[in-house]
Amino acid sequence: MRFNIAMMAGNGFHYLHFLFDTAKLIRLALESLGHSCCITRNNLEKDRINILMASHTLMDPAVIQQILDSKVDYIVLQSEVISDGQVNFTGDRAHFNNCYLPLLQQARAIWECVPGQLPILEELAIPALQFPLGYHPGMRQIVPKRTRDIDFLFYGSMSEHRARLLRELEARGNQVLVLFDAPALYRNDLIARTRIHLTLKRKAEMHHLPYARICYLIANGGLNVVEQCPDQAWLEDCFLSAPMEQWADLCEATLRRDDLDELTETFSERLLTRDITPAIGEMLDQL
Amino acid sequence: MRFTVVIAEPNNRGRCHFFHDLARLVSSAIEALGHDCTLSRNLPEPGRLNLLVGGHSIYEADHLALFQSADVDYGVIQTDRLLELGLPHGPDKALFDNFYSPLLQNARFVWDLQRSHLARLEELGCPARHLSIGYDPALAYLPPKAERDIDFFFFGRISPHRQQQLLRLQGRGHGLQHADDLNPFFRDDLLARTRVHVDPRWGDQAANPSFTRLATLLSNAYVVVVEQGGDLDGLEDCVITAPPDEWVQCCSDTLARTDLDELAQTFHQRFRDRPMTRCIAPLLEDLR
Repeated sequence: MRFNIAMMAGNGFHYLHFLFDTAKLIRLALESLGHSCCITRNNLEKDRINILMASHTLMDPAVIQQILDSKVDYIVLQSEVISDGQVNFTGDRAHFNNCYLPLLQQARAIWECVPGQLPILEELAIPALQFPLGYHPGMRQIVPKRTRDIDFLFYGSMSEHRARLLRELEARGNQVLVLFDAPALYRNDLIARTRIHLTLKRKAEMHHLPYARICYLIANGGLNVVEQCPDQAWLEDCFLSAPMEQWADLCEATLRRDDLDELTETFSERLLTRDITPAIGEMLDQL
Repeated sequence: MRFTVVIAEPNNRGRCHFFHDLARLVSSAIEALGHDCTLSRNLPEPGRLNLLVGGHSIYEADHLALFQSADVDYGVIQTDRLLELGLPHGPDKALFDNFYSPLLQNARFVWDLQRSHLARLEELGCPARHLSIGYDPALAYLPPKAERDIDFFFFGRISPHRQQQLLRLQGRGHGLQHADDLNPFFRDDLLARTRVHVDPRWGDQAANPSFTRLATLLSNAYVVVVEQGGDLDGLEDCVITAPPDEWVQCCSDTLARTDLDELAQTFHQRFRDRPMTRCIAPLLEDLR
């Protein structure tokens, strides 16, 4: 089969690059399965199955209609929070009803990144498959540095909850580096210099973690200390975690460990067993 | 020694990602030689020897001042064509005189990828050394795809001469893609889908190829057809070349070859025999 990962940047969306690692992971898995796959921006291909990413950023009903009228074959990779008839708590129900919902309804398949969202999609009569995350050897992109001079690194978007926990860790006298929007070149250099990576839920009440980021870090020799989350069981043997109240303690205790390299290696080996390629293959079988 | 490769990426100034592969190449080779090397966007790091890439795009006094600070030690890796052409693009002469020229003159050293720039730099009072490019695994991150459905691809800025050559090529009915300021993530995908990469020269006065572009392509085993006229710095046996009036025909002929994969591997192996560590080690020795 021939695929096009179509990364949609509607409405001046600036954060498409946050999805690059996931796009690459999918491409690598598809290519490993012997399929052809390209990655394009705001572009649908008639002779390929299009895998739409960030399609929630398409805000113009006319554009949605144009996509539907074109009869292109497409799958939606759904990674956003759908609740109460809106996307990501924006309150914009017109967007959901006139743009995102019709796009989901007409898709050949929906691949849902967050397991907790499957029942919500089911309620909307949109059958979806859980999209797996995991390992592909092509995601090993970072050579660890001999000198790791950064104690703690957090990268990703900031929220009140995250900021509070990061401030608490810093207030204890720790060196905490926070990175939001750097291109991968710089981000990866900082990852390679870091001893411990920090992973936090976006909001305390959220039930999922940024698993794509966690997997990327583990694949690249990073050790994660994660804020405990209800849906972490599938990957929790690959990182350290603690409830919110004990998270900063765990970060500090981990930094003091003298077996960090061995621990990182153990987690990395465990991730290797979660090869994403056969899991994607099973999803393709259902197309 | 402890280095930081600083990539100048002033706000809203396009094409700065063109320097990313050069930064990868230089930093990885420096680390392979046993030194410590980090990357930084815009900001020099006191306490390290800063290697500035893309310095010609700095034209804010505050930014320049960061490098003129007494506790900052830096050298410039000079990549811009302005030394050949005068000021064909980018800052006008006043900006050059006020920003890039002092940046070059105050640097502890200047390395230039183009040997032909050395005399001009000397005239500016900046004795420079030539930095050749070579193979480093850090750039081998873009293997060709199994299905390559794009005939020709060129990434880089378009000049009138390049446009003319590319239009002639396209006029033959070939599939040609061009990317200028496209995000490298999408550019890389096009690059990996391509059968033959083309490298038309900028123009009569600036005929040298972009060595950074060649490093990216040769590190990943692509066939490149370069338009003759400039200094290839010993890479003649790693690429296909043709004079300007035969270049379009040569591109077509190359696309028609049945041994493209073998050819790519031959060129790639020759490039691998020229490690970047060997290119940069003598320059680092000079800094001790």
